[in-house]
Amino acid sequence: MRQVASGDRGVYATLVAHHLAPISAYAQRMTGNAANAEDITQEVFLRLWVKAGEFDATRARLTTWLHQMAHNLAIDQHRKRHREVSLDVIDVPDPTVTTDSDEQTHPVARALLQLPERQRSALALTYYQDLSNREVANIMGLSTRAVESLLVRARSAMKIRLEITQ
Amino acid sequence: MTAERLTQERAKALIMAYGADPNRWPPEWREPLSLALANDPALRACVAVEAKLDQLMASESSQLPITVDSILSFTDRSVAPTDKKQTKLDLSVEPSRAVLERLIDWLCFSGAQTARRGFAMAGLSLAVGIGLGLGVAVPSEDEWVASEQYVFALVEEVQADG
Repeated sequence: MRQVASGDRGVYATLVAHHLAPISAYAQRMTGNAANAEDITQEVFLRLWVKAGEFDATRARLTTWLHQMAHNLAIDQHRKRHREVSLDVIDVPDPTVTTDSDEQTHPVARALLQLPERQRSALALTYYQDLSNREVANIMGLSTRAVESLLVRARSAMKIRLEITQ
Repeated sequence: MTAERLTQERAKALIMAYGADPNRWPPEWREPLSLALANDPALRACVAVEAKLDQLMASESSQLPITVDSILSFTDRSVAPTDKKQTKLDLSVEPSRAVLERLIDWLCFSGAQTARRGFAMAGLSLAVGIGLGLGVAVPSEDEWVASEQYVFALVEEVQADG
């Protein structure tokens, strides 16, 4: 990261190549929209280039740092679309999330997009991004117990939407 | 291992949070959960349901058609690669403002003096104002008279009712 901070484009390109797939997949799962996900992904890697000097390897892994930026950008984007909505109702399912094409979207992706933002984020980070519960808690600014609670609610809602029974 | 005691309720919550795959369970809970599962049919039933969800979730893969080259090009367009200090961006800037700034930069052929940027900004605002002004339809004198007559008629009607 010191090399990136000092302007080494080769190292930067290597880091982009290594982290592009997980970051873009997370952005896609959070937004359900390729254009918005691409904006978030580009912004994350632009910040990696511009703010490389601020990264502290003793505090977090690089992937956690990048996911945190992607998470914050996704939340910002979501809130810009819902400025009039009180933050108190952030756990309410989001009917205004627009996907590129409902017919082409995988049923799991559709069910994921219908989850409230924080539940969607907790599930995507834990299940798809393979981050530990502590890393997810750090990214979301919550305790691990709070993340677990979000996960239980998220998975319960997914089971209902995907009609999974005993 | 963890100091916290694993009750059936806690075991169920952990399985419902992290799914059926022990590799996804928090490391400190793997051993106690495995032991609890061996002795508790209700927990095994819970794992079976979560396994179905895990299987469905694993069948979804999300990939954006975005390449490393496109990211590098975006970074190039956004910052000058040779001088990082010069190119520190205010990333909190509103997108609409960023577009306006780029338009002004383009009008000024990039890197012009501040005064020239000011003139460009004023000129652009004036042009937008004139453009909007030309689009406003001004009612004719007859139309004004007709609308005024209508208002006076209403006032008279209200007075008559009163």
